[in-house]
Amino acid sequence: MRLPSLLLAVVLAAPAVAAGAPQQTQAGGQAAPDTTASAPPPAAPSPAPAEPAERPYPNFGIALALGAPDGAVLSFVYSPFYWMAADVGFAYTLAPGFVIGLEFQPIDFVVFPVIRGEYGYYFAGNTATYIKNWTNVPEAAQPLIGDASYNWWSGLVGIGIGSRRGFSFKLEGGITWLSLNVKGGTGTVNNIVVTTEPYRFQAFAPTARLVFQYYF
Amino acid sequence: MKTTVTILLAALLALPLSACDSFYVEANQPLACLTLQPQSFNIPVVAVPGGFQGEWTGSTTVSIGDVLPGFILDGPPQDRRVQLVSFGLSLTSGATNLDWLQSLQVSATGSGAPVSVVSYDGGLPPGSRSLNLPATNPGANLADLVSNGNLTFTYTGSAAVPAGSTIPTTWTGAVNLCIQAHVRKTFNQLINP
Repeated sequence: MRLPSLLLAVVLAAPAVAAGAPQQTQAGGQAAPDTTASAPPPAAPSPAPAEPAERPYPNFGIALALGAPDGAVLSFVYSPFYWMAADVGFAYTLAPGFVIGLEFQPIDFVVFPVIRGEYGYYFAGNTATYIKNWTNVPEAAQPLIGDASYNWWSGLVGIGIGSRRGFSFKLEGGITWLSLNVKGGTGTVNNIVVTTEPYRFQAFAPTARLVFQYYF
Repeated sequence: MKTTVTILLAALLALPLSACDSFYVEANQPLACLTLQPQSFNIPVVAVPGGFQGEWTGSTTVSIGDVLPGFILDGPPQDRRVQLVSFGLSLTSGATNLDWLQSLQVSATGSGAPVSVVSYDGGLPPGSRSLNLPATNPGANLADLVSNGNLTFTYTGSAAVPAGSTIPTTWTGAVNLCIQAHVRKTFNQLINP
């Protein structure tokens, strides 16, 4: 929100501008008595106090995000314009991964809206092990669950509180399209030899993120 | 500003609450192949001019509930599918080849009416010890036939043995079934099964 600061600057600058303006003559066009003979020469008008130069928006920052399906993400943020930022982050939940995001902050105010799109990918890591444990897959069927990785696309909107020139906190929510890709395997279940090709779980789901961000 | 924030907050809260029927999870298993233990079949043959002929039947019950995740078979009928992709039969003993096999019909049975899934009317290269047939009714949803996690396949075949050849009165074969499965459940169905 640059308009309020612009208005404020105009209001503050107005008296100074007025002080520098020439004296208006009195009514009737009569000249004021000439007092220059006895009076000391008028002092040169003092220059108007310079408006403090607006500090430029920082271009770089870091962010820590916690959310689903993001997990925990530590990101490097680059913002070429105050209203747009791109981020790339290292993520970790069940396995290491990364998240790439593009975020728009259309207004600069202490409370501001946010629009975000992101893509994330988690490498295989220990995801398959967690799936086996959490879903109580029988031991005989566990070889059918190979390495598992997942990725997602998300669109989010949210609100933020803080400064574009320093620390801010954001809460974002939206929708995500998530794919869990599982490699198949071969196992013997109840005397049946089972071989599975890679299979996939997909979800269209809500998503949420809590972000702490600092521009420097 | 206040209006914007209010709208955003309302959207954040309303979206997940109102969209539980729009949000969903789906699972796709493009191919899973099950090789069953070898099974014995008896063929009562009768002598005919030039050799022998006979018909045989058999059945296999597959504990498919042990192979496919329960949420596929328990899914809503309109949103879960298990389809046969191919059927294979490998001779393991009792005959040197399948040259005597004239025809084979395979049906899936279970909680519903039997569904024909494979049909063979000859054509194997001489000396073959196995055959692999695509499903003749690939659209049939076998999930509808699963009963207590079990799916039964019944076989009906005919044999013709030329005079002088070994009669496979008892032979064993291993059956191989390749299936694909798909299920979709909304968040509401997951929360309130």
